[in-house]
Amino acid sequence: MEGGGMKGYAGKILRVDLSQKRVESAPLNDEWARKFIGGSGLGAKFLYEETGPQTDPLGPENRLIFMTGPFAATPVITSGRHAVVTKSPLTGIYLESDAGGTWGPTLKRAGFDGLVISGKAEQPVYLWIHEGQAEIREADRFWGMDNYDLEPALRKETHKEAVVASIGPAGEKGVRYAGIFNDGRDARAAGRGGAGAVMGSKNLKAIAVFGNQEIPIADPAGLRESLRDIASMVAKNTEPMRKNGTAGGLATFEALGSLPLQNWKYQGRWEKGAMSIAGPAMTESILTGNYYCERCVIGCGRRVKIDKGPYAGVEGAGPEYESIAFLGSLCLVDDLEAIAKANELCNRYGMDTISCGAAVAFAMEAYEKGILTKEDTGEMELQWGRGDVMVKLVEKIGKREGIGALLGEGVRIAAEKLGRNAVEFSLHVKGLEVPGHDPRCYNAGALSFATSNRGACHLQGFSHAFERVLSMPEIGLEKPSARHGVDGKGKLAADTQNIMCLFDALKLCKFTLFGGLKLTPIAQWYGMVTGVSMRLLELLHIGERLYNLKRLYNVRCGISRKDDTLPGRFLTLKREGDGLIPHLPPLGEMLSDYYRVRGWNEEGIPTPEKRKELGL
Amino acid sequence: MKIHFFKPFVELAGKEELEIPLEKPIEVKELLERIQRRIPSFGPYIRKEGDEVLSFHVVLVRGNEILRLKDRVQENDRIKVLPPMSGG
Repeated sequence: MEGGGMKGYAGKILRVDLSQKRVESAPLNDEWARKFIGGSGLGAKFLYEETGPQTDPLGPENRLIFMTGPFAATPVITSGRHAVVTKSPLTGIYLESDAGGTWGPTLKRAGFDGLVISGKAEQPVYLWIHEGQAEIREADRFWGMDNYDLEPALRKETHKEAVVASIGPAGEKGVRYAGIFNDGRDARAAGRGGAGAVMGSKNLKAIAVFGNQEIPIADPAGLRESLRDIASMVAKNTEPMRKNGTAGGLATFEALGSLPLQNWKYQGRWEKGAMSIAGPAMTESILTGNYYCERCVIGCGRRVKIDKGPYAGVEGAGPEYESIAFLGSLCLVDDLEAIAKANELCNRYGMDTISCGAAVAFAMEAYEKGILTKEDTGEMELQWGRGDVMVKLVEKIGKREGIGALLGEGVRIAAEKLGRNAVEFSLHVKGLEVPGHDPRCYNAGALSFATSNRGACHLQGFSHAFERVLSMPEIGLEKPSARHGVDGKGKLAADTQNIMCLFDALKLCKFTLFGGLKLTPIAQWYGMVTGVSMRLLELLHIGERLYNLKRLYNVRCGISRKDDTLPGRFLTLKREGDGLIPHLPPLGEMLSDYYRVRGWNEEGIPTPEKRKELGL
Repeated sequence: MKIHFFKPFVELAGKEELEIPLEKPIEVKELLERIQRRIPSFGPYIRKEGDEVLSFHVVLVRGNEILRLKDRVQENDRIKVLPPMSGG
């Protein structure tokens, strides 16, 4: 097969069969690179071709795919990202998970655009990939080690500047929302959906990478010129994110009724609590500095340290907005240091903070309703607002110990196991816990959560952000869409999902949108990096192709309209409070509109005509 | 009208509330200018190039509504000055 010749790519994919103890370098398929670009786009193509409805997510036949994009290891701003694609043990369907940091571009400089891992090692192993070479190494002595301790230990064995992506004890023990973490104490994470459990099921503890290969760029001078002004604009516009992080606007979310509170059932306002855990509160207390992913001009990452009190010793990555919302407000915990401690535990054990916090809140509600008792919890009283209890529960989940074993299954399975009416307050879509932007606040956001290919997700569409502050003239959105409007929401959700597919394939940070970045320069950068001229419409067409490819994977797994829904709480319980507008998203009506815009039938299946149009 | 500042703007304002009397309805753009005249240190956070750019720095909320530069506000409104929405 012809391949490996496109500029902007390393030109090689590393295939690793852990059962056969075999590593093999294959040329990048140029046709696939043009059609699916990279990141989760290219990853989805590999997954679609090599796994299917019969694939056990935790079986050796599942694939664990790491993929960079054409911008990684180039000067393009915020391109220090990579995608992890696999079949999820949490949802049983398509999963992509995305991490920042430096691991992705370092993999590319080590000579590979991506890795496709299959099989299962007999004993714990790790991969060492450097300067175009790859080895499978024995890792018995590292098994059980947490993500913070592992990085320096692996650097001693490999290279002092090696970058490590790894799983902690949660991934080893099969917590269904275990993630894959990189960059040590700065803890960037492919968090959502349980890719870490897949890695654990393969007995793969870590992947250390290092390299110096230069990536060829078609028009380096043009790229530099284009980047100069845009980098300044993005940096200037995102100054508040640099100062107060992704949680800088947490109080604003509370004021709009968008902040998750008490397992999404809270009525009234929680202003004081929100102020005490928001970004400015962190800036004034435990913040020690910023973290920048490779080529980042935003610097939203937090570094924190706690010197005294019950959580003394916390040092490293601070909690981001979603982590604060789930380990904090969703449990009515207003103790920022407890949240920072739980966040560190999630990083060390290797767990998604959203699903983990959601599991804790689910347990608190089950306890409140008498479905869980002290007998089940090991004498712990799971009361709302108890930061100390929340921290203990997170630790138990990370160790899969006691009640933690049940909660590590995710709220869908935990509710099924608990029985009674627990399913009514296990809030997920397709098995993935609902993230931190209340779908009762944003109609396109609600639609996007219901239809997202990995289950409830705010990032696969980012649609809610276009109902708050963002515009995108290239899709006819001159100003943000009215949050509670209905007209045009099908198109808005579909368009933004397609655009986010591009971001996830190119591996660009979506926070550049908060800096004012639009699609037109991105299309130009693609041409300047790869040498392949791409009109904006063509790029949007690729975005649509990618979204449909992932949908088709799920359709093969049995997904259809019946699954494109929201938990009943968001469809029946209005959120009320001083200054809030009680609202329920009219999902059924918007869903039909969305399917029509997408060219899918009424069951939510892409039609043969649509497949043909997209070359799928 | 009453302007209610939230962190981090409360420190800039030096107070939680500011009273700006309005004889007649004005646009948000004009309101921002009046706030800036009263609190010069608020200036760097004010953008008038467009709603989106303004919202990257500061969000003005009336009830449950995010205000745009051309929206009109009046004497009995209560406006909250909140940090920009980011989120992950």
